[in-house]
Amino acid sequence: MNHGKKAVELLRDVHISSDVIQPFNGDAVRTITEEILALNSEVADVVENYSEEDLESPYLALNILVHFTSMQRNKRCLLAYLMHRLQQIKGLRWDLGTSVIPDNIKTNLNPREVQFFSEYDKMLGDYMRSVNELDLTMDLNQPPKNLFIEVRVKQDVGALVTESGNTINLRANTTHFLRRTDVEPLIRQGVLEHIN
Amino acid sequence: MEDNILSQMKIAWINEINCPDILPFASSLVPILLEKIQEKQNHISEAQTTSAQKLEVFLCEIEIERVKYIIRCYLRARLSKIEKNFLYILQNEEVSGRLSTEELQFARSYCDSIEAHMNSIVLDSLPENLRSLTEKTDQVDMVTKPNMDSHVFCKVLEDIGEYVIDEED
Repeated sequence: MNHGKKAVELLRDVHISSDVIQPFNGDAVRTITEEILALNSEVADVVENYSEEDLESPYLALNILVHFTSMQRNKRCLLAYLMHRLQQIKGLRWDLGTSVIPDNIKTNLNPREVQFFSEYDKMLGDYMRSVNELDLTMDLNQPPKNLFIEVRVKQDVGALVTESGNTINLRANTTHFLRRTDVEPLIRQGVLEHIN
Repeated sequence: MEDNILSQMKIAWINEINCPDILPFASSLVPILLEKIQEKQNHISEAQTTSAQKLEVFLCEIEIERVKYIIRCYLRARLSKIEKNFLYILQNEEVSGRLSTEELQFARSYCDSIEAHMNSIVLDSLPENLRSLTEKTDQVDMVTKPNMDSHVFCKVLEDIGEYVIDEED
């Protein structure tokens, strides 16, 4: 009986690779869940086969306690693993500022996690709409100092329609002097580069 | 911008960022500021002609951006606390009373999403006595609460005289 070794392994893997979202380790989750169920049936066996009086003996009571504590620990480790991934997924929404998960990250997510992302996106969108459409994912780091900034285009993006209604063609390696609010999301996505 | 409302908003913003617990929503400040921002933006889009006006418009726009920054920071700090302590907030009437209606709605949706997620991936397959998200034992309480023992900086606004900080120390 493993008593939590697999759970520790799972969390250790997470600890090592903190920033990038790793592929969802469905196997480990399944194994740990099965371990919990196995431990539970051990406990059920003991409870069935001994009378209440017998169960008060330290030997049996500790047997049940150790199994149960292992079950709880496994459950906590599983929840911690899932919660950590959810934090990373929420982080995606804030960092990218868009409602679309890049394909290379999407392949690492469990379908349920993809659903969580769209639920989170929706609740965030509803909230932002309720505060006059104030986009909360902008200005993450410091107070704005300029209205306009100079940017260089790293990848071809095509046409951008600015707030004032002009259309700018963003071809690779061109530089433009544009309104900060128009280009900040693109800078965060890595498509434009801010030149100082 | 009304100097008074803006200064109060700055104070609310700094308090909210530095306090571990969520403070009462600045319901007398945020909606008014948002309204004024909207008014100014409407005013700007109608007046775009002479170069003197252009400078005024430019300064107006920068001011709007900076006020928006404060509001964004304030609301983000609150959302982050809501996400961190959602179970504690929803279980506690006094605390959930400090949220705006929309924040409360957000907290509930967030709680539902997390619960559904955990249930479907793990908890539903577990034995019944392990399905809870709010277990509490002597070592651990699954409901995360803000750390009220963390240290904060304070600025003294009026003379208070002697004040006993912690009777145990």
